[in-house]
Amino acid sequence: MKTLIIALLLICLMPASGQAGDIVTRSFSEDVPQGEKVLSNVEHKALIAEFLDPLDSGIGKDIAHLLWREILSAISDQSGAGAILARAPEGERLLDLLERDYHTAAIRIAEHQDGRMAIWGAAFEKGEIVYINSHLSLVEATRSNKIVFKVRRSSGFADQRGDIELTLPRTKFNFPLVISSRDALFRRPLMIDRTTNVRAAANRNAEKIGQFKKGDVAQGLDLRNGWFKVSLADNQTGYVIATNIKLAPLFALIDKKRINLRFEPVVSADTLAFNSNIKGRFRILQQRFNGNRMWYQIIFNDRPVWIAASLTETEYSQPVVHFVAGLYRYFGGRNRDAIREFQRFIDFPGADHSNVNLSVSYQYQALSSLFAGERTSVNQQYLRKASVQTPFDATPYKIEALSWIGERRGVEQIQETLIKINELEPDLEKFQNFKQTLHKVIGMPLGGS
Amino acid sequence: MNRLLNLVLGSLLALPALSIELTGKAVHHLSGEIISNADVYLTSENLTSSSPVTRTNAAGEFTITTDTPFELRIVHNDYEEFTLVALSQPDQPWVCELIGKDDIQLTAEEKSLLRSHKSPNGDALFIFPYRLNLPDSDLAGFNDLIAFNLDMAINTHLQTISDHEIYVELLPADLANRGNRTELYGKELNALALISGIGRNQPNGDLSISSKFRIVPGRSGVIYVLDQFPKALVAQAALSDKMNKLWGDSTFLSITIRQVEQASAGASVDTNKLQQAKISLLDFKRDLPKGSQNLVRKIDALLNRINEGLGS
Repeated sequence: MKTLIIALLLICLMPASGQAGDIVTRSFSEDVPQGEKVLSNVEHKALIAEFLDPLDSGIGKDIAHLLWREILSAISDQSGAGAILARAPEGERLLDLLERDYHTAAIRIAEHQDGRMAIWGAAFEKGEIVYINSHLSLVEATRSNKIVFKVRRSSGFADQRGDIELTLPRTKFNFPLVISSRDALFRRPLMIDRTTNVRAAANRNAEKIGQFKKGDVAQGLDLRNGWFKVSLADNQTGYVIATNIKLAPLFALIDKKRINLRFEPVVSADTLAFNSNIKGRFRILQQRFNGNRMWYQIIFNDRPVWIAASLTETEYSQPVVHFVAGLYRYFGGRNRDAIREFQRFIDFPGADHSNVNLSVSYQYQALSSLFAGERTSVNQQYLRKASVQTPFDATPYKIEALSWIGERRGVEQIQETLIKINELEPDLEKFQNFKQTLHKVIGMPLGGS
Repeated sequence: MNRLLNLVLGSLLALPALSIELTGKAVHHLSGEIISNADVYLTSENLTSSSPVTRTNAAGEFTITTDTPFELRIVHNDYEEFTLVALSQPDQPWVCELIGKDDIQLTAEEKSLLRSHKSPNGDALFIFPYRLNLPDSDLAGFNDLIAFNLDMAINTHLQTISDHEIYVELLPADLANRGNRTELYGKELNALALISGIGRNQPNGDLSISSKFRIVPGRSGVIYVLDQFPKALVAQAALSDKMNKLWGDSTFLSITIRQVEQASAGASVDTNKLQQAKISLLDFKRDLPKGSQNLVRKIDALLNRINEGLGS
């Protein structure tokens, strides 16, 4: 009898997971490994390696420069994020390493320069056409996501806290072939980032023939060996070094019901279209930062107009730029931006993504959504899509289990999800560890196996 | 191993089933002599034939109706059986080249030519230069690029699921020009797989390329892939992304199954090798797309076999 009373008492005292008014917060734990050796001023760093160039046309170097400037532009508003060109460890040659060992070499190169990831690949140029195969290699530490759960109870029970380690299994990515042209890639507006000399030839010793100031916009014609060829007045051309350039995205994607298109990049400017319904993919002519906003200039109804960048989605030259930008946003806690970047990757026109890359993108969207405090139903949309792409992967279900923590009827849902994880997770010990950690956070025993 | 590999390879072809009527012709691979009264065995998603479904007639021909993907075996007493796994409908009549038992010996000259290319560890894919209707200089460039692209595509794919590594070697043209003797060279080269291809110009200017990926050892596990793309893309020699993945997966499975066989072959079981094979297979399985249930069943059967070897 005494035992029964105690048992009943314990049941009454046991906190129920998921009460109306409970507040659940989730974040990376402070001791998450950020990469083996990371420079203190740049927490999230990517290395871009010269692309392999079997036809020896120089395009490998040009693609690397292009991606470097585009990635920097894509993450320019994120502190602690950077990208540099890769160099080989002493005594070794970058292209030889990559051609021999591919991802293994890329990871070694990233670690050598204290980076989180390396972007590399192969490029071919034949006549007008450029073919690009790009790859991404993440250092091992990026795999681990140590997530801290804090459940602040509304019901008078003790608050709950726990750390759950979720390992995303993939660190090596192969992206689909991109077929483009020099014109499509390099003929574009260049935003001058600092005072830069214009030279008669593509080298530092060439005659100086002009100068651009920070904020100027130049018309780029081509990119070779780290120098942009630009058009000047009177049909002249010159060269500016790529390191002083910011690249706007190639396209602005607009799908808004009430949007203003202005003649100048300022809120008070006259409008061509006011509160209008605009949908389309527009080539960006230039970008400008004005009045605490970024603006893009596009052509609409044959007229140049400006639109606030925040009202658009953007598209760069290759899907890898968006995938990498998505990772930066995710690592940097810019959750809603991460969701958008991965969506840009998924929707990249003409890209024949592998099922694995799509699944990983949806998983990162789900995790970002989790950290952004979205409803579980929103997370589930991403996770369903991930499961469709890789139906034999337990990871989407693990993320789903985490998203139910603190939700009303969360325990029941978690138990159902655990059954699925048990079917798919081949390592019994990992499964049991995951379940036990969930139990600690929730504060209730779980079935599911 | 051959049977197991065939069964698994056959399940890689997770494409929509295509119902086809196929006419084939069995010939001797050197002389072209017709092989009549050979047994034809067929295995597809819906059929596993333990007895022949038909026989080759006096003209060496046979006709079958089946769904892709399918596996075909032709067996005749005087000849080694011919086995292949078909990805898509091949040109017809489909010429099946059987090697006579008397032809298996390589000449001293052939052995001498092959010796310098032999793979010490059995981790090489050899390409016999493709035979395409291109100017010689373009053809040389195409074949160089094929080797580069395949090495990169297959290895980067392998690296996402395992620690396996292979290298791709383009063999000299004088070996390729020995016609169908190339089929015998796999064992001598200690090759993991042999790749070759032929092309035909289409009336619209496109190039139609038929590539063959043959797993060694043994004469099993041949995968045919038919590609057709504009001549302008020939320069890039990428072939199709899907084919690269298919060949990458086939390479992975060949290596892994060989790993399992080797681990179990000795006096005592090599548990480290089995454990490595298990980890790779689990990673491979995790990345499989929708519609792979058949392949998953076979992978699970292989995993069960590994677990038995591990005593778990």
